[in-house]
Amino acid sequence: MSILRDAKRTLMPIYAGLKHVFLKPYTIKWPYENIPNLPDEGYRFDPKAGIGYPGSKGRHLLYMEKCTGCGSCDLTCQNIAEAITMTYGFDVVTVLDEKCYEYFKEFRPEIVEALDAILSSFSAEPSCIQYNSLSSFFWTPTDVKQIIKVDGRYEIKLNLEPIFDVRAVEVLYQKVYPGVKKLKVTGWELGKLEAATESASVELSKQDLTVSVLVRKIDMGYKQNRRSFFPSVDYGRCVMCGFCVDACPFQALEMTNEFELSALSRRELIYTPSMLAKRPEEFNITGVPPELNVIERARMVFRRLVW
Amino acid sequence: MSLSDVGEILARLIEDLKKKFGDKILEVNVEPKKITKVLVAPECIKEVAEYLKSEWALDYIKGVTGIDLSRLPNMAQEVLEVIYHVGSLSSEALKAVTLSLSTKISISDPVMPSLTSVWKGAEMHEREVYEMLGVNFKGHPDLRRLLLPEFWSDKPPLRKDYVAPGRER
Amino acid sequence: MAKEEFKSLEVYETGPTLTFSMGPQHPGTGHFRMVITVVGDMVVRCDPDPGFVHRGEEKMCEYKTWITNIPHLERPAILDSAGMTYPYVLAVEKLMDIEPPERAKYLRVIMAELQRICSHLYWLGLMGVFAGHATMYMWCFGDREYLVDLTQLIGGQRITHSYFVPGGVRNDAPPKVPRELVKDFSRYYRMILGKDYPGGEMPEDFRKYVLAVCDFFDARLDEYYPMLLDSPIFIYRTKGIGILKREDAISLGVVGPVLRGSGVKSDTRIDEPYDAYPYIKFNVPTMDGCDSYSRMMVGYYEMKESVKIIRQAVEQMPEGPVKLKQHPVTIKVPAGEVFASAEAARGQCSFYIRSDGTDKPYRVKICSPSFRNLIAMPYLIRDVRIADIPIIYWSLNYWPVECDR
Repeated sequence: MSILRDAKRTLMPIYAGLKHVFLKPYTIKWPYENIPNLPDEGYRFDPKAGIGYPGSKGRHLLYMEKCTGCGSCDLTCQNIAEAITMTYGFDVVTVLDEKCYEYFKEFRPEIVEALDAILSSFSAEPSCIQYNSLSSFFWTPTDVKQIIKVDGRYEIKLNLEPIFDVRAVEVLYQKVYPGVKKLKVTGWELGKLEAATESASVELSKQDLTVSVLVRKIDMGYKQNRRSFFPSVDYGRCVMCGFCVDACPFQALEMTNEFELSALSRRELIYTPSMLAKRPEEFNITGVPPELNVIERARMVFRRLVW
Repeated sequence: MSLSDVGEILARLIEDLKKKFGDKILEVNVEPKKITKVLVAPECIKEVAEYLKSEWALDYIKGVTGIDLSRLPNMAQEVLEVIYHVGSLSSEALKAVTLSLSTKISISDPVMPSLTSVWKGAEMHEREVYEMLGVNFKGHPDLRRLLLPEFWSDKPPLRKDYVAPGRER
Repeated sequence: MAKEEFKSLEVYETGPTLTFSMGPQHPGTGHFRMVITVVGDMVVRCDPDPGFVHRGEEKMCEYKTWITNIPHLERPAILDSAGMTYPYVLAVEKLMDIEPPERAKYLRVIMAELQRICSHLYWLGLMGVFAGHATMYMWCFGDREYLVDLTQLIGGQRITHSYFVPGGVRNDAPPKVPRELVKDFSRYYRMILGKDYPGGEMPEDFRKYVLAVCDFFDARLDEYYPMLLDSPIFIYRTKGIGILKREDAISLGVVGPVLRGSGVKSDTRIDEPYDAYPYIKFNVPTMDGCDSYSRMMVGYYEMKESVKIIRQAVEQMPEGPVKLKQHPVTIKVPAGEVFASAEAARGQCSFYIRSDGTDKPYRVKICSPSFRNLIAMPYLIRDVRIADIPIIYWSLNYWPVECDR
């Protein structure tokens, strides 16, 4: 009898398993199929009631019109993941004097070469940039021909969107210095270097020409945040605990249900305030997934039709 | 079991300990719901532990904690405190009881008798305290490093004078 | 380990021995190494060597504030993050002398039990793999998705949702479940169980949805039994392997299913009831076999009990606030010391906390369940064949990260 019972017990799993041969697979083909089980909303926190609202803890969403730049989120994150940094917005401007401007109008090679070098260093980013549309969009320089006259000097704005960083010096060092190094070879000399938190400048001279590159803080025009001091989040470090949302006394930070944050380099994971201010519908950070081949497409159609 | 019963049992236990050992019990810290701690000298901790195990059936070791008390505000002492958290499983009435038996040893010469002969389960816990705070347990069957790498040559990391790299401020 | 304690010392003396290490790259052990001495293929000595994933959680606690400790404290046991933070939160609450609101207690219980099931499913699935039964693994992970989704609805994350805070929980449960998830789940329900949900449409209301998931999972647990646990293949591989006697279990201080698999009826939820557990009726399953099979069966029956607990908690859960009024990230904890325990998935997890009245803890000691079960390993992996090692290892439900902290 025990043999019979054992045989039954051995065959039962086979029967139970066989049923599943004819069922649809558990898995879904992400990103071609949507993930059905995400909560619709992101995690929010009501500072008055002192309680959060349930929701997915994905990428942050920053309301720039509410953020006062108090840095509560930064302070909290210092103890958790050190992912949040408070940053200023910066513009990078090339300043030409009268004489340089005349030369520039005539397309004299000396000045054009200088501007070219600075511009090229400006757009020189890691090679992966062409994949990720968003970062390259933010680092693209503007057209050199837009020249504004301020106080008898001529300014060429190099960046389209504000560059966010902790100190102006760092922007100068990271964005402008590679080009300046190149210019040194061609005979340009480094002049006065001024470095501070809110502005930085470097002077370049060759014979009687003088060009200075100026990094200056911009006012983004928010009344409650005169310093234009906003958090930027490094998603290479963030653990998505949401305590920064709890810490914000003005409801300026909340979370969304976007979880597709992959990138090809570490620095693409650093989200600037203007990126955080965009809703996830407004841009797709992962880009378009590669095309499916014919067999895969046929299999997907088959799956949908049969089950 | 309600909490008052646990408190009652612990009160009786401590009374009994005081009667039995007298001056050897240096300090008793009873905070209901939080902790019940008995501080004894390191020389007689084994004696007390054996008594607790045989008479009170406290045979279940829950953990061994080592603390460096040298940076405690207002009451800093140059000592290491080693606490044995013990409970009971063989007696139904004592299941909710956790007694903390502690002892203080000097930070410069941290030697105390091992209680592995009383509570076998303390072996790994004592090995951890040995590597994390540098306490030497006399009579431990196998006192080796447990979690730290073999090449660790700095101070014991849970001592307060060891500062984690990058956390100096 | 003292040499004279080994029963197999005669074999050790006679045969030619071979010492090798199992792990840390071995797929069965995770980030953990055992130094094993064998004669032929009989293991005569096992020396566990943890520490490959030691992160210094206890030291880290001394640098971070009371609330910001929570996200990193749940990292040691990601499958069971609620179980890991539960005793910490209880300990801090005891120090502060506060009590969370009633609804928060029930939400905590629901979350802890959901995580317990998730963790046990992982255990059951991997036990299946190491008994040569890959189907169990797939089933467990497929069904686990819908429980993880529930934790995601409540806590916002699939696994490490820092949900518990001293003074309650961070947010209430959502009133409604997303329509797409309900549709997906009802399709799955029909497909797996072969029948429609009783009462027609799957409910969108949160409470009813949780009950529906409980119903589904209960039915699935009944299917698991003939699939793996009653199958002769599994029984022959696990019965009588790795025997830990009752007296040994107590004297070694093991916890959780390992302890209950040796016939000791001990559960923190019953012995020192906390939060909403006193109001909920459930059993503590124990087995007298003392072997790997008993330990796995205890885990299986615990899942059934957890489903029961979730059902009762959802039905009894009162309305009301879920958190005390306090600053969300900065709390003041008076000086003192406390020892608190809670039942995590792998057993009793205890925290000893010493506070000096500042914004950071003076000392946090974590007595994690896997660390306490580690000592059983040299006792169990002895006089067994090499092929039995993965079975014994997984019957302990050992989690290297939780042990190393």
